[in-house]
Amino acid sequence: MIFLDNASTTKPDKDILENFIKYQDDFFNPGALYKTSVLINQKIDGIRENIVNLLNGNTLGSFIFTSTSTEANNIIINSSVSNNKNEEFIFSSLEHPSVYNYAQHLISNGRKVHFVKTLESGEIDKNHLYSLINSNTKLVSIIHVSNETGAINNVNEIATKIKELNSKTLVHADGVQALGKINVNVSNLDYYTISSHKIHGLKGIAGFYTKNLKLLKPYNLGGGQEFNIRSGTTNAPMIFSFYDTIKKAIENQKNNYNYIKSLNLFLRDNLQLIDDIVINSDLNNSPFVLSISVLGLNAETILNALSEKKIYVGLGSACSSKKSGNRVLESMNKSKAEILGNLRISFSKNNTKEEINEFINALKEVVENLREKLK
Amino acid sequence: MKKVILIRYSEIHLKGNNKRFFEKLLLTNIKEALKDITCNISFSHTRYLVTDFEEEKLNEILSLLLTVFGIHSLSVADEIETSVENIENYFKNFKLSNTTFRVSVNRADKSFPINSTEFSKQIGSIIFENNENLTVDLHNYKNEISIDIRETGKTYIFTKNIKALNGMPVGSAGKGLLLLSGGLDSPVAGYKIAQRGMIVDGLHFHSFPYTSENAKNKVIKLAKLIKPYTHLKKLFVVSFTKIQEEIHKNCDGDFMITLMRRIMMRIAERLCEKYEYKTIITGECLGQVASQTIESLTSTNLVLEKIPVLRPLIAFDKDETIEIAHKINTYETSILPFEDCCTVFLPKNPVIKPKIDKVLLEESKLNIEELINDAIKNLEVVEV
Repeated sequence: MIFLDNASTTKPDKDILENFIKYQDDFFNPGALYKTSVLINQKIDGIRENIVNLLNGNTLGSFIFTSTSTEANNIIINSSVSNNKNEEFIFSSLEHPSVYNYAQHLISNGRKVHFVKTLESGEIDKNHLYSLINSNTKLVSIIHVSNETGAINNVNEIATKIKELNSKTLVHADGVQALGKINVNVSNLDYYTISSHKIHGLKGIAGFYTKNLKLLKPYNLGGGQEFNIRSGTTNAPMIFSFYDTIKKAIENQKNNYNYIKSLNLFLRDNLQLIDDIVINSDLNNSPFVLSISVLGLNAETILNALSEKKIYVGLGSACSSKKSGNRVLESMNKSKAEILGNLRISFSKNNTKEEINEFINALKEVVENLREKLK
Repeated sequence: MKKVILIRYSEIHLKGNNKRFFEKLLLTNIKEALKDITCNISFSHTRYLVTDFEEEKLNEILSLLLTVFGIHSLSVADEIETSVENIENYFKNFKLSNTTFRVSVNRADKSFPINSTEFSKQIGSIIFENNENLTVDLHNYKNEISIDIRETGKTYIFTKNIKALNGMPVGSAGKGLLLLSGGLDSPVAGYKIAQRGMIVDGLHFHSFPYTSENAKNKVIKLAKLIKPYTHLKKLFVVSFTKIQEEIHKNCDGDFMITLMRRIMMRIAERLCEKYEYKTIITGECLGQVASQTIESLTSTNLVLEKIPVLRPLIAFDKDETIEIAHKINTYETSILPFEDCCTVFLPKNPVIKPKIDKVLLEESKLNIEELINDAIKNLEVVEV
């Protein structure tokens, strides 16, 4: 099995799994009043601070744990919407469905929403973004690293500029594909979302940095956990495991980055062996994602044929792969053939050069075979 | 007093000497539908009776019975021991107000001392006296209170008739093979033909890798959804990839769909013979798409030598199909966006009125016998 769909999820590391089981000794409800629970609660608060530090966040900022990054993104946007119908919201066209579909929801509720244009490189058009900011701009949400192409938006710098234009505008960045892969600095951002299972941690834990807790609204009602923003029994063992995952990813970031970059370059070079393949990811992008288009073929057919060979790749964003079309590539002005034939190859530290080699051979065989049959 | 469910059958009453066969089959089907529910099911004098169930299961039982073809209507009734006094006492506590009503008595038990008309009046006046703002109206009534006095010494009292699915008991009209594509039409076609008493199994063509595993799973899911109505047990899955590739390679692309349909029909006919199905059923609807013009249907029919094709939706409006798809809960699954076999290799200008000599010419470019044998050899049978 060759897994090249690591932007959708990753295999949990063995040490992370083993430690998670040990952490089950701390099964107590952190909300209880006895000493052991109080100690767990203190430990969790310490972890919040440490995560804020690891993200280079504001010392007055905090971190809210959620089950998924979808939940985190929803909480952030939901909190920014008030009864004032004049307020405006700005999103990039590159956003994950958890942000993009919320934007659509706002539109259907009659709210004023703008989408930022995308450059052909896959980054947002910053000038267009800045031109959209006005005194009514309430929230800007920009993905840090595109899950489709790996394009990097320098969100901290963008936030600084936005604040110059309107100091009250809140800025959120979805950092799910960035953390542990490229440097993260959230100092000028109001919100930043991260997730565990994209960096070899467990599924079911994610969260977000917030500069100011007071701007958040309760998302669900219950026992008042997570500062009454996200009620539900605190999952202490999962939080401990998430913290391990984050630390490990950041500690190994440089090595992993260089290693993945070499795999990425190796794949780019060898893709030239196959005719009519377009690489949609810029060389400056995060090397963890490589978007390609196989011209003249339907990517889903290629995916199915590769999956028969136990090679698993992505088809655009996994969350949107059941829908036809690809709005991210569309926003990059890609042709119909480039969109139809779009595959996403995403790497992890577990991939080897041999695997990439095997993938190239399999892809070549599948593509040539299909082209022959469909001639 | 206990709650029971009365079941009336539909057109079985029109049957002559073989009426018993249909009555017994419907009983079997009712028992099958309620197999996971603790209850007693009996039959006497054209009616089935479900008794001895936990009252909280009532709604579940009703919804299960509403999947059984051959049932005309259902009533939830109170069962009491037959006597004038018992029935009168029952109605002394009967609540009804601000409406028009009538009482209908069916006196199957001829030993009951008062005749139907007389007893209706008697009970009507008891109800009238014990409730407010009532008007008796024998013709334009809002509520009909039915009293069914049976030969068994029991009397059943009910106020509502729940309309059921009608049709004939499934199994009374043999077994057919349904071409199940994953679209909206074919599950509804299976449902409609089962309504006439036919047991239905499914046949699906897939084109991996041009179609995905998900497309196949979707069809399995649809097969499961129509199972309660059709008694579907098997889904035959045939790979159509090779055949499509060969047509694409050798034949005029505009004839793709015509040639595909003709080969599908041949494969279906072979399977019908092998597995003893008496007919092929499709969801085709006249004029809906290029392959469903009368000329295209004729062209596909011509390949069949022994087995007829039934097309229950041939004259359906799309709205009617969608309405049934909603009713049987297949709609949401059918509209999931997975490619199906017919959507790959789709020609830009499919022939709408295929001329048979041209079709035969295109077909002569293929080794049809070998393609069909290969496809059947690699058949997958999914137990649904």
